Amino acid sequence: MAQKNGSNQPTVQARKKPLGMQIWFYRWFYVMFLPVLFFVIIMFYLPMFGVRYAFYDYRPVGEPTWVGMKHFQALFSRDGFWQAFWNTLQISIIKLLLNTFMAVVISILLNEITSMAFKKTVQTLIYLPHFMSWVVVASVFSLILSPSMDGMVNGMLVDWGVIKETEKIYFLASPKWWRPVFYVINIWKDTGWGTILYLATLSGISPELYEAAQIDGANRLQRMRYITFPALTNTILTVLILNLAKVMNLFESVFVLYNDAVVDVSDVLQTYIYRQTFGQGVPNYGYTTAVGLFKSLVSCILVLGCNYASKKVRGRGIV
Amino acid sequence: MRKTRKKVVSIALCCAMLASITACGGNNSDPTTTAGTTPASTTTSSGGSSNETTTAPQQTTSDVVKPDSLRIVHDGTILTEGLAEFGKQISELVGVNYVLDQQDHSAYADAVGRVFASGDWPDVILLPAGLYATYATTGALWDMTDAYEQWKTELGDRLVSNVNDGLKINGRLYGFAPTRGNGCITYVKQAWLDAVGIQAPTNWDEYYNMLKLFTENDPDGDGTNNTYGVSAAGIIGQEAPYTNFLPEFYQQAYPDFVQGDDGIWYDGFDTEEMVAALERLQSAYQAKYLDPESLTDGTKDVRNKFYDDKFGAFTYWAGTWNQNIINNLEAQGLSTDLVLLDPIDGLEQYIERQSAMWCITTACQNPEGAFEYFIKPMLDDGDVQFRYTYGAKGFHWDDKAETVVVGEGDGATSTDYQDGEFHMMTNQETKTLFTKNHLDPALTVAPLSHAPQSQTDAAVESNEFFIANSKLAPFLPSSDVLNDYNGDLWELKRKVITEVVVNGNDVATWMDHYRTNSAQMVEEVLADLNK
Amino acid sequence: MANETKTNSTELTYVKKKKKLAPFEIANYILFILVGLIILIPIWKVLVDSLDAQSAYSFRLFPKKFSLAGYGVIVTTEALYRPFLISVITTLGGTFLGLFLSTLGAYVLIQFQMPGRNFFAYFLLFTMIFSGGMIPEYLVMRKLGIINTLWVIIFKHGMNVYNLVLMRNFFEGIPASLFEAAEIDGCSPMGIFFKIVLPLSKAALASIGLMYAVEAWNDYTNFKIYVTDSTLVNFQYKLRNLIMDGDMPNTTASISQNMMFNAAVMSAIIPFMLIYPFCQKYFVQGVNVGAVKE
Repeated sequence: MAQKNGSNQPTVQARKKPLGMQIWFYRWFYVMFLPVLFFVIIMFYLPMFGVRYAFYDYRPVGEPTWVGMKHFQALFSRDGFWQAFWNTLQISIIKLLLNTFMAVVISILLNEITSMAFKKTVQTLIYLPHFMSWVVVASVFSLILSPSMDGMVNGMLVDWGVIKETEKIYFLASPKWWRPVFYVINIWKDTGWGTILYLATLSGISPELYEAAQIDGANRLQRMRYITFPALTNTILTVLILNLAKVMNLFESVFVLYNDAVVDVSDVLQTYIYRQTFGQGVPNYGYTTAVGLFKSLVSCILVLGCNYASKKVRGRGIV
Repeated sequence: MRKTRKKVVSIALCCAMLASITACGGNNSDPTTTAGTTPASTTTSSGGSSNETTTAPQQTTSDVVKPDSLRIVHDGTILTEGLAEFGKQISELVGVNYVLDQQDHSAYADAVGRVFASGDWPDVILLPAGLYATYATTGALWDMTDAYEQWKTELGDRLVSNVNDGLKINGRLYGFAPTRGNGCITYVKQAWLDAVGIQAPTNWDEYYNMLKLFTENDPDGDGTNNTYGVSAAGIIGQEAPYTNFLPEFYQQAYPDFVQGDDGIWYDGFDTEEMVAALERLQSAYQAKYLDPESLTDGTKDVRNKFYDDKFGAFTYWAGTWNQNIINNLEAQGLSTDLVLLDPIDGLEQYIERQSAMWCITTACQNPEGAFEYFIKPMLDDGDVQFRYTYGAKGFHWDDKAETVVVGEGDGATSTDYQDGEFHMMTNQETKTLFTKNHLDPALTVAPLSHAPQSQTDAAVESNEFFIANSKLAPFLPSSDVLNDYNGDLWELKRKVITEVVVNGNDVATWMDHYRTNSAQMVEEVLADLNK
Repeated sequence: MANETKTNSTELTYVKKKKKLAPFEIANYILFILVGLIILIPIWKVLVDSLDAQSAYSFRLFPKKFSLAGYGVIVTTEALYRPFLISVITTLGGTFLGLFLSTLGAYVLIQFQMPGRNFFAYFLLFTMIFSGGMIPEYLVMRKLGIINTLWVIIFKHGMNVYNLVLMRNFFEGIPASLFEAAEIDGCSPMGIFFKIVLPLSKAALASIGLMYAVEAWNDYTNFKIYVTDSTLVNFQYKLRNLIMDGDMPNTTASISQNMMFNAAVMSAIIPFMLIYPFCQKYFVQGVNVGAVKE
């Protein structure tokens, strides 16, 4: 599949035109970009001026007052904050890698299925969990993982003789089990949704390539390795880097599944902040903005870092 | 030709979008038509200064100007269905144009923050207990002490509860609670008591024994040991009064700052009562008489477990919930005989939580008018109070001759009413009967002299039982220092509770842990509260 | 896919049809049957509970007392018709606006030689990392005067940089030779956009359009924050208020509360369960093929 790539330009290179002529040449593109520009400014850049409140005490009542670094000092001095921060990085990144890996594997395998009816059914089925809200998902999985007789997992473990009846495991309250369980639930919920993108990419591969490879004697595994997978690489990298920007925002899935007994392993930044601000009565938006600013800086570093690595390895980043 | 047409279309779309945005800016102004809401400013109107004496009333009713309209911000406790009709009727009755601005009920605190932050303050705002104290100290609320005191003398005997006196901050009142708060009582399944052969417990030992028998003696009779004595949504609650789901365990312990009878504040968590409570919780949890999943369950999960006959003693809200629990038990084919447990020795009384309060903001141009023409009519023992209690005539209730159908399909029941016979009407969205509007007739501080029964017997019975057996929760403290440390203090408290109850560690060690880590914070908070 | 060879030519070709499946394929089928079952388990619980008038806490394979009343309430409640309509409006509006902006933006972003192109790219990506926070956003929307209208919802869904970048990725897959051929033929940029880029991006439009649609349909937080007029709320929000949220009791004699709750959850899943099979034809392989002989 031919790729139009910014770094491999067609070989015939005319002498560079002056800037004015280039702008005129591309004028229609600027016009086309106007609505996008307009919306982005209104929806994203105008509110961005609010970032300055990270250095103020900003309550609903009264004028915002300058406090400088007070919020950041308050944040960084607390142990709970740092633990939450490291937890966020660990949990979020591992979750991202696992989810992407599973989605890619499932997509590639699903692509190999020949029966259209079967393929459609499975596809529809695996993307349904995405539509259940986290509150419901937590409720159902709490039941499945319950340490009582009603818990499916414990029930099966006892039946198969893996554990004794008195040794039932309270998965969601166990610091040892909480994270693996969390990852599994996330995979259950979001894998199917992720496959949509990859399957769409795979549908763009010309069947002639596969036929040519088969004629050349490539077996299935080799076809997957040399045709299917490279076609996906670009999409996978884009998805990974884009999701790195959202890594610090992890909240709802943890919030509905965590509890007091596993705070040390499960507390993420947003849940920590939620608890901090919950009993405060009159909210201090300056504090939450400061946290937001900190999160943005971390995301920035992550994205830039990954982008740079991608450039070194593959010759181009996300831009 | 086609090329240029496409160009024209795309440019036209861009222009249309630009135009629509600017046009929208003109049409949709704020949804208020009130007389005078000014942006956030802490100007106090006539009732605010603390120099004025509290004995002589500020003005007589003849001085008060009737406002043209009032903007009211409130949550879902005024029913959403029929809100427009309700607003119209009370506006007509009082002669003031009420603009009822209902905010999101489930995240009301956030909505209140946004309302204030936007600078577009309403005249009157409903503030739940947790928000009242903190907004009061910011100077956003009008001091209504004088208006209230005068009204109190006017109401005389009609006022059956002085809960509002207990809600004063430093002697000043910034909001008015027209009802007492609700609270939780313990429901015990009679069928289970019979199955294990005991009477309803009256003290801790009997209660604990009941839990033991409920867990071990297979009270649901299905042959497997899969039951618990009691279950709750969390070993300690997320908001005040925190202990309402496991009152028999906590008894007199209260895990927040409390003002003693002598007026001095102290830390309720660092007390003998709390140590005893933790020990009780620990023994029940470790023995599995208290459902271990109380740690993670939400209220919906606990309710479903109760309906599914998984445990026998359930502490939940009094009033309409009593009927609801009975309905659900019936749907499951279980016995609906529930014992309303008298508070055991040591507990003495169930806890009544602080109710929401109607506050007048300092942005209101005519606060005396707002008090006179919004708050007072709410308890006028006439048509307005009737509507606050039962809803809009012709929508929520009526007294003309008609047939009321409840439910759907096979389970539907219909009742005929004569002219003049008061009856509640059916909520078309859920096919159930409306029961009440904003004011619960059982909890109102100045009840209607003639209040027809709109709720079922079970609901009324449990309300009466609750009122007879409850006392007010400790008043919520308000202090900036506390706001700063509240998050950290609660982290510590929850850690201690989890380590002791769930992990079975030694109470004394962990109480020491709490003491050492919180010492400085507690000291500062108490200094601020006791100044 | 790899089992048969087909050609469009008129001559007869020998079509070799494999009679039995390779072991890999059998394993694949079995794998997906297992995967399907595992994914299904939690959904099954919700489904069974939504049809069970005696729905219980514990897990059941079949409803103990089958009843469609839960769905009956949702379908017959007139109060849900208007919110449903509103959901449809905001979903269509948000998807259309989203696709419109993403495709335009993506098309511009693949003009690697255009001056300012890099600036635009960073301009867009920056917004994914830095944000002003909820209160400034609220205040800006308020200043625009679109609070409490449907426009604020549509605008919030219309501009999604993540999807824009994904769309750009898809566009990059279109062979450069196609663009060159069109330019040589004298086609303008808009013309190329409509005649070449869009028709070849059916899979992209379908998948990204689906993403926009799902996000807009499931949205309820934006309604919580920006819309207080109860006649303007959407289906999800109304459903939540009616059945899911809070401890406000619902004293229904005939319909179990848990059953209604689960029926509400299922009704969030069902629309897209029905729509997806129709979208899938756009994910068929080879849609982009054949435009240019390599």
